[in-house]
Amino acid sequence: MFDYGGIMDRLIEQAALFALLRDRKIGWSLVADEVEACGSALEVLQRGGLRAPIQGELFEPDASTDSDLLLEESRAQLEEWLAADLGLVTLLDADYPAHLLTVYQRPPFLFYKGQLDQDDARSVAVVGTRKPTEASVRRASDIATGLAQQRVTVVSGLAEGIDSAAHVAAMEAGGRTAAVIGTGIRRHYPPANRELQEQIGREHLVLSQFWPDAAPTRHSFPMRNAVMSGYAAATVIVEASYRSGARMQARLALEHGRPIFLLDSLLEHDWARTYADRPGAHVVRDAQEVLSVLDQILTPPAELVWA
Amino acid sequence: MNGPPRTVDQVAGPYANFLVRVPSGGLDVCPACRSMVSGYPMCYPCSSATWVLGNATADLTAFVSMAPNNEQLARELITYKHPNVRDADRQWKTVGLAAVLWKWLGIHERCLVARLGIDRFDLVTSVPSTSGRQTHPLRSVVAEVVSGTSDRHADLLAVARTDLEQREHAADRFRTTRSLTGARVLVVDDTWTTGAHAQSASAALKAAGARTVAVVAIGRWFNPAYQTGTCDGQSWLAEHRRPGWDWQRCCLDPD
Repeated sequence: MFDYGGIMDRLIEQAALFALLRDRKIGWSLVADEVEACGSALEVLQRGGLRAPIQGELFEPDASTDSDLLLEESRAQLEEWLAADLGLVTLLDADYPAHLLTVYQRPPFLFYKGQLDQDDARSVAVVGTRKPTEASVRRASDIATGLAQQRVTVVSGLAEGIDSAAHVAAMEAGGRTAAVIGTGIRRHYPPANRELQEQIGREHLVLSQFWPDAAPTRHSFPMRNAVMSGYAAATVIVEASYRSGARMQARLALEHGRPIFLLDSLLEHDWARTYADRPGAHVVRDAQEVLSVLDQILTPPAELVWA
Repeated sequence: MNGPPRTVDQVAGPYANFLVRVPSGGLDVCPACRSMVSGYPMCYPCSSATWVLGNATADLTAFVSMAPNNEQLARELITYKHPNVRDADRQWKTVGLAAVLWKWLGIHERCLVARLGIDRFDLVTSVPSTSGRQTHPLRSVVAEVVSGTSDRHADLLAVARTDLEQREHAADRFRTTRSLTGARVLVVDDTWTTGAHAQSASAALKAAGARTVAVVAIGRWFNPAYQTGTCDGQSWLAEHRRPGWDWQRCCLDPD
């Protein structure tokens, strides 16, 4: 085998991961599971990749694929993307976002613009409708401002409405913000947020779990919500109807075992009253109430007691 | 770990959002491992445990939750011991699983002893790691964190054979560290996939004289993509699933 050191190692591993993911017959989560279990995408690729499970969990080496050729193609593509100033982190890299690694929907890779920072473990997602009332925009801004002032990274989805208000307020408060987008990193959706996306990418962090030129689809936004929930330590829902992506993120966050914060004004909705009764859900009025719970969830307890 | 103490209920509470009910029984449920079976009284791995180990298999097996491999409990069971996971996250996962185990045993250990016709377990032990890990985090959960088990904990097992396949049952996979004549032992494991480790552990304990062995695993690993004969994992899981999670119910209760 070749001996690659440091950066070259990372590049080859990443290219090998891409080569595995380009096989459309295999689900990405299966690839992620296998690469993680093995500890090396290159090793999985060189032993013949993995084949769709036909009988149970049986993986048979597939002799028909030429792993060297696949690897070369993927590496050329990868180098082109990296030359275009895109950041890339994959699930075996030490700078892969810490909380995100612990949810099942962790994407095998993330493209990014800006700076990754493991201090984003101290982060809260602030999400809500694309068509908010003025009062909700104000609430979202207040929450994001309060979090940013306490050095909590404000995570959102760069959609119109609540998401944009949260990003902007965090930046205006001098804090850090991270945007998890539902398209490839080289796309802008909605077009009106192009400027905002570019600013966040220059000064903070924009993340995408999709191929760089991928267009938005019906599935990409819910997938993005799962990643946003996984990235942040908790999720605040500002204003959201039952059918919104923000409500879906509340559900996903609960299924990830992450706390959710429902603004008290949400309780007019049936869904929010139901969610408020679930363990891990908190009804809050302001950023202060979010922060008091956040401190508890970021530090593991020194001791577990029966009561 | 330097945060203030938390209670078992506080920490275990949110797990109710993703724990999955383990079926009590039914024609399509293996009576030993509670997983999918089609047209046979017992699933293949559990039958093969009986062929290889005879009546040295565990007298009773129970599971806290199903762990479908595409859901969060499965991820918790991997990440609490995965070296790539950041310390604070890994510690939280460990404390969380400890709280789930503690709470569940606090309620359901009496179901186990009642079913076995005994009054208590004398000893509690965990299955040692066969992957060469020095100290398994599950050991510290059972021996140190969960005070419902730590006062009866003993390191009873050591790995004796490293040449076996992961899923191979073998009476000599583990050896015991002492004689256990007449002892009633509870074995705790984090994950049950085929039961090869837990059943081999049971066989070693019985060979050392244990009178009764029960196994509790936190997660019954389950692959919804699995298909065999007329069975498919996804519909089986959907059929046995119920909305919500009830801490008071366990897989030893009648349906």
